[in-house]
Amino acid sequence: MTDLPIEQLIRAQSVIHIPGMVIPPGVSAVLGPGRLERLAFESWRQLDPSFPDEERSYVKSEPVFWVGPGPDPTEDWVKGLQQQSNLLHAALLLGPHQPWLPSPLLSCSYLSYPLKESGNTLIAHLRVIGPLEREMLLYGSEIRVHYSDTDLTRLNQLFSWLESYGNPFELEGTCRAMQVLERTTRPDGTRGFHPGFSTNEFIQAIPAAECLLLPEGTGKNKTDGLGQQAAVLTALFNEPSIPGPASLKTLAAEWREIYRMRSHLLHGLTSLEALDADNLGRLALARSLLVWIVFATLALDLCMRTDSSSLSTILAEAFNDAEAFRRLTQRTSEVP
Amino acid sequence: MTALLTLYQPLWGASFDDEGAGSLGGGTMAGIPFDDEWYMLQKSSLARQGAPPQLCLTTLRSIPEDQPIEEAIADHGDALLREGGCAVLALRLYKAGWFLSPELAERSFVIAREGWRIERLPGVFRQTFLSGVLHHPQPGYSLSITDLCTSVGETTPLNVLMERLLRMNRCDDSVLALAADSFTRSYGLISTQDERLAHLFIALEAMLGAFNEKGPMKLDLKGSGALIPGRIRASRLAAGDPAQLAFQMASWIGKQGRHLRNAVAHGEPLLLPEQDLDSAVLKLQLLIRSLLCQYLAYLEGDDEQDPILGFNRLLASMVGDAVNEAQQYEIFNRIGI
Repeated sequence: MTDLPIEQLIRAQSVIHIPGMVIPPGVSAVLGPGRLERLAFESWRQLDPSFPDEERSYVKSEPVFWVGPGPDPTEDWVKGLQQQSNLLHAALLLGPHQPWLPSPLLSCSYLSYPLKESGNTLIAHLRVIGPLEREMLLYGSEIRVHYSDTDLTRLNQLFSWLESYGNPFELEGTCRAMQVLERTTRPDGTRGFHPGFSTNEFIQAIPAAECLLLPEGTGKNKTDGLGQQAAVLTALFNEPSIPGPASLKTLAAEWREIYRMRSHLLHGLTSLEALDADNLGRLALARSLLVWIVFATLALDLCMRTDSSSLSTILAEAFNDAEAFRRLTQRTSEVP
Repeated sequence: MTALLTLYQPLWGASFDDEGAGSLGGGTMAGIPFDDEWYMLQKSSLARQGAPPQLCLTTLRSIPEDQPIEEAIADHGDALLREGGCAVLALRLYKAGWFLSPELAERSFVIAREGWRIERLPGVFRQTFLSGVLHHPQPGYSLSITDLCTSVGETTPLNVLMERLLRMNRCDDSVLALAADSFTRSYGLISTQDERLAHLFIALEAMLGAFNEKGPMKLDLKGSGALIPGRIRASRLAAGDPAQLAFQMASWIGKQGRHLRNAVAHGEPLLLPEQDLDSAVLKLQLLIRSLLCQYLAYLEGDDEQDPILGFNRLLASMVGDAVNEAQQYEIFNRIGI
């Protein structure tokens, strides 16, 4: 909570760097209550004067910022900026782009607010600098993900849909999946001796999905249980029509293979080098599974549940009963 | 006439107890650069924030005197980066302690002739410690001049380890590659403890097989070395632990370690105080450090088709019922540093 008068605080503006995002020049895209923009160097320098001579690097790195209204003026500002960053990152993590971008919390966020001093109104700046400092903002990195106009429109739809439920990082039913999605975009988790491929994301995502889909005490064979529930989610968010039992069984068999691959990788029985092209392609599905779990949890209004048995039960029914699958399709039809 | 192409790798988070420098092995030296050298290395607007010179690894290659830096990097860059990677791994295998992986901070190629020619390979955490505030997630690494070779004919255990890594093309041995890669990942800057544990258990099981198996690849081992705790005891004895300590470590891995591994593997929350998780990470790093060093030593004398199986047989035999003191001594010699 800050001491400034409310009428000053409500004019505060958040500026949050989105590390790794690239948008076309001149584009200013709507994203929730704010916009995504490529700020001019001079505008950024006013927020953060620490690198006054680095205009050339800045221009080359083409940093993108979300510019929008400041956080709730009655709350702690730093916390408010972090919540805004988290919600932005949630939309980016649940969107279709690869590679996924690291959290804006690792880079730089700013809050500008008017401040009256000796009768004059000045603009003051609060800076929240993460462990990446200004590196990705000023000099970029190998993480550069291009967003077209169409991508940005879809991102805004997703953001608005998420906002209607609250921040998925803070909801009981979705926070675990979101934490794993976030953690596996951290630059020190994805870098290793094998640039381009990483088991990290896979070995973190599958156990998290297992924990969410197969709560303790369900008494199921884990491989079969995960296969069936993942098959329903795969069909739900990828198939244009309601799949027949044979199609679901094929998907379940595919997921059982993925689960076995997880055991082999997690227990050191195989390495990345030993995986063939098909299995390498399957690594990314683990992350998608977590995304579909978040979508289903939100759309089915299970996000305040501390246990995941409800989702598990609904998915199990849908695997065995076409009518239950149809009802599930209807209930999740608004997922963007 | 020749010039030198040098790969600089600052080790943020590490300390060094001498103003001189020493050799790790191959063409790699370790030491703290002089102020002028550090200034040139960091000469950019970043340097103004004033972090003092840090311990650096320098890996050298001779090049023709007039060769442009771009051409020199094309000729030698990959080899220097590979050797630099071996040096980083050698330091981490040699003793405990954290430093930021140079590829996440900054590596630079330099030709120092008539002014410096420099090509930087910045990492995403390059600026993290430039303010001079060193916050690291684990106790920092302390390198001593006595760990390094400083005179002709001298060899230190760290030199032996480095030379073994240089001789061993890690990618030829998939177990070594997976275990070393996973071990290295446990040194991330902002990783959570369950991420570090997940990587460390992968490294452990890559070396010793899954917890519920009697050896890797379903190798049917007998006796007290059949399961992981028995072979951990053997490894710790070979690393020089007293019998009681080796037994305690084996018990820990068989009970608390296994419980943690199951929780991590199945995505369950780790309901342990922070200091217990920190301690578990350090213990596992210690175990994997000695296992990897011992496996590297084993590979030196090995011509088997499946060396990891032979290595596990050897560990199991060390704690077998029938082994006598002379045989145990022979095994120590085979896999000790």
